[in-house]
Amino acid sequence: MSVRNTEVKEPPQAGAQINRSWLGALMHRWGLQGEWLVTIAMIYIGFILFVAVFGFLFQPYPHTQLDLFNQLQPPVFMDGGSWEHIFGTDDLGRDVLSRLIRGLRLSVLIGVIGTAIGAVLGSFLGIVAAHFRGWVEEVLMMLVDVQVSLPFIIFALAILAFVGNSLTILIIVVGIDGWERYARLARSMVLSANQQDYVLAVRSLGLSHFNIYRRHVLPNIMGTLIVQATINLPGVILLESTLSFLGLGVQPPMTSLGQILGVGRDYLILAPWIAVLPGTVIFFLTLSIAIVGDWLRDRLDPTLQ
Amino acid sequence: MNKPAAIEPEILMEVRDLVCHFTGPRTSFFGKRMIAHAVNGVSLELRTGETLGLVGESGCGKSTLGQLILNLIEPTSGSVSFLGQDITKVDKQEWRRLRSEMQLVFQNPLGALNPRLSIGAQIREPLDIHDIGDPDQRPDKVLEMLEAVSLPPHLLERYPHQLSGGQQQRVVIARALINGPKLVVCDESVSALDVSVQAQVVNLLADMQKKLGLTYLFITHDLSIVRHISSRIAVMYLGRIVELADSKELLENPMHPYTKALISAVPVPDPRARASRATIRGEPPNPFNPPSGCAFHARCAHADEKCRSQLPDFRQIGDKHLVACHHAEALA
Repeated sequence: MSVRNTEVKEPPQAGAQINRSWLGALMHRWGLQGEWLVTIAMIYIGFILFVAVFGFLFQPYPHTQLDLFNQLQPPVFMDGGSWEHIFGTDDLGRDVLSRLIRGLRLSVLIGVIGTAIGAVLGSFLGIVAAHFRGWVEEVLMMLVDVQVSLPFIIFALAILAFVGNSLTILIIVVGIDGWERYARLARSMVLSANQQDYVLAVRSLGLSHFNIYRRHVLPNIMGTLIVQATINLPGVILLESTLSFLGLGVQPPMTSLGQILGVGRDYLILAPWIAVLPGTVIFFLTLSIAIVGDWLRDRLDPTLQ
Repeated sequence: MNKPAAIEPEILMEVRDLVCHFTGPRTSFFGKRMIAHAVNGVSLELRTGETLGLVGESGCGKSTLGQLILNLIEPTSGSVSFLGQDITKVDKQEWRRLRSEMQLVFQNPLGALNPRLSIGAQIREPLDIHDIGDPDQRPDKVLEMLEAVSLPPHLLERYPHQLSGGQQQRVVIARALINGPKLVVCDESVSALDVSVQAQVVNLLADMQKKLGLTYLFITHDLSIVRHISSRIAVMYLGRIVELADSKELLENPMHPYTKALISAVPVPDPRARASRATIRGEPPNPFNPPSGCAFHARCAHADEKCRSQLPDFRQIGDKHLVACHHAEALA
């Protein structure tokens, strides 16, 4: 049945081949034909990553440089804007574009590392719970329930208030967010994978537990965990923004999108661009990641191709 | 059937008084846990090169017995010896080594294959696990095995879901046989396949047996398949073997009422044969709460007071014909 499907797919359509632009060709190569939304989302994510990594090369001003003669100057596309500050300036006359570029770097860094921490920690604990069962599972799942019943933002505020604030602690705190989701997911998937005949088969072939997980169980649950990570990543970026907005996140002179947003709140009527620009960047970033994550889930399942 | 009768075949595997309990839910909050007697005192032996058919209805413990024999689950008591060595008490390393000697072929071949690994990688896996031969020569060995189960070499790169059920089962068989095991437990291995494919896979199993001198424990609920491949047949009911004899003897001269009912349930292509069918009433008993005496008494037309109170011995009647029924002689 599926064999026939692949045969139909293989002969290239002559008309499409001629008209294909370089973008179309690239999309075809990545298995993206017809997926315009996914393509746009990917391009946007690529652009954001590029800016986060190399943006400092194009940064017009240092992000902390004050221009007290040009406070709250509107961006170039609004009345009274000038090319001197393309995205305008904030209350201290700092260039919003430069701050966006700088803030993006930290937000992406925190988002990616934080997500990785949560995914690895949560998945590991979930697998441990499913493997050992018994009291290990009881204890870990109880921790999960505790974590679920705690409003995470209060939890994060409490830790940051008690332990103090540094970038490392902030990353760890936002990383812990969502570990219980990975743990639950990994546990239930490992439990069901362990019931599958192919796990029994390789066990009866004499494969060790570690290798069964590495070679057979993990690859089969990885897709779902990666999708969970893409669902969680926007949440982590938003959490950092929220904490920074509340003043407990990134501390000046460092800056992140959330922190710019927090400053912009005070000038929402007078100078909406300070808050709207980082807000827009975050909105489209989280949306793009969610779209790509959805596409990735289908893509990672060989039985759906 | 597969060995000349003159030579008494050596005993490959011997199972003695094997018992396996599973604990179920508690009867009440403070109550004891219920215990299911999945396998309840089974003794049998497998001779080198033979095929022992193990038949019984679902839930009678035949799959559990298969996994106990492969030492994939631990028995509650009793012993399983493989070539004279008690394999229920081996250490981890020895257990792993024994994995090359005995293998399992599953009912659902698609479930038995990892959906994310190519066919070639999965057939090769046993060689890697036990580090057999030169790694450079393993692909050749895989190709050889693929040919032996009559699959075309271009399937190596395919994934399990791209194959038909029969092809998948051939892959499972290839993977089970690549390390050259002595014993293969086929757990309902053809039950999930189309009838036409069933015959092909059964023939393949028989061919491989001849070629490699394998011993099979062939677990099934389908007597019409087992008669084609088995040299002896054991009938299992609620965790116990109730009848054991050579295939021909058992099918032509069944003594246990349960066996009789099973045999008469096999469809016969003769409309007039219908009249003489022995039937079984009722449902299989609950293994958490087995009946007293003979486990079959509640469904047996010939049961009397003795059957309800006394467990029948597994005794020999006639030539190599073992049966566990108080009234075997009267019913034969």
